[in-house]
Amino acid sequence: MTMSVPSGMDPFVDPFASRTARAPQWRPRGGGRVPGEIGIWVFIFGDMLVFGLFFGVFVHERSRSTELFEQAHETMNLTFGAVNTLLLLTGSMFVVLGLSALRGGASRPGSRMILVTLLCGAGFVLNKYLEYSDKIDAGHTPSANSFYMYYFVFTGIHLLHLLIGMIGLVIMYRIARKPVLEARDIRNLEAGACYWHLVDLLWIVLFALLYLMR
Amino acid sequence: MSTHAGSAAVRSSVLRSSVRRNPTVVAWLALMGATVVSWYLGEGHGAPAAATAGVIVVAFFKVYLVGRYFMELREAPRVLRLLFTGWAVVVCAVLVAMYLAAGG
Repeated sequence: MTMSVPSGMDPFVDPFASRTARAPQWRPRGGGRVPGEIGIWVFIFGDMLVFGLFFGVFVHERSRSTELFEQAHETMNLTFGAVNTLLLLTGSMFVVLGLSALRGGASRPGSRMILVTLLCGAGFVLNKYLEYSDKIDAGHTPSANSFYMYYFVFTGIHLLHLLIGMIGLVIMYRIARKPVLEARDIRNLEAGACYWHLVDLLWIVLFALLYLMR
Repeated sequence: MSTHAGSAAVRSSVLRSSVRRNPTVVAWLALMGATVVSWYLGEGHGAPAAATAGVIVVAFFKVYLVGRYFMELREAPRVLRLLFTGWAVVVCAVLVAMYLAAGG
């Protein structure tokens, strides 16, 4: 068996030397484009499964002690939850618009829109701080009853996700300020944006279960 | 200078397209509207069982909109869309069923 060397190719040159060290992007069959990278989607779906379990546990516990949960619900201030939902939705929209501007090469408006999202996130944290203070002052601590235990644990874990998302937004802002964006930069921006939307969608369900269910 | 002019042109086109029928802005308006509707239902309007079932369904419809328009799943491979929508439908159905089975 003989190996044929195509003309023009030097057999003593490493054919892989010019390749980048990056792993090739995973492309499933059936077309379409994976927003960000597949790794971020593995994380997103994992997180969605865990939160799906949290939601189920909450509704199950509620059905076991309906009266207690209904009484505790009476002490909730819906405005805090609703304002935070509106803040996250608005922030999410600005990430999408910012990403679309950055894809078009408009670095300045793109990075500014990411800053607006960061402000929405900061508004969420401030609102949460006021809400937690309000609850603790009124004696609604995690040890008060099972409703407030779930309330603090679930919103606390969500807040942690949001803070990580804000660190992601700061990194995205720094990327957006680069004079020229490479394909890898755009993929990192998309991955950060998808994580931020995950924070948004988990809050949408938490808002419904903790604040609106009656 | 020319880069700056180019950037300004892109910027104005982004702003113009966002004012017009940009699906992102339309999705955001729908999400804000759905939030106000569920806020109204949660405040004590309507029969509690129907209102709560409505609130949960509206919440997962919002999740679907976030996935499709914000996470750009409408352009994504089918497997991602199916996993995402599947999660939303299954979790929504289980929660509504658990709530109604417990007597609302």
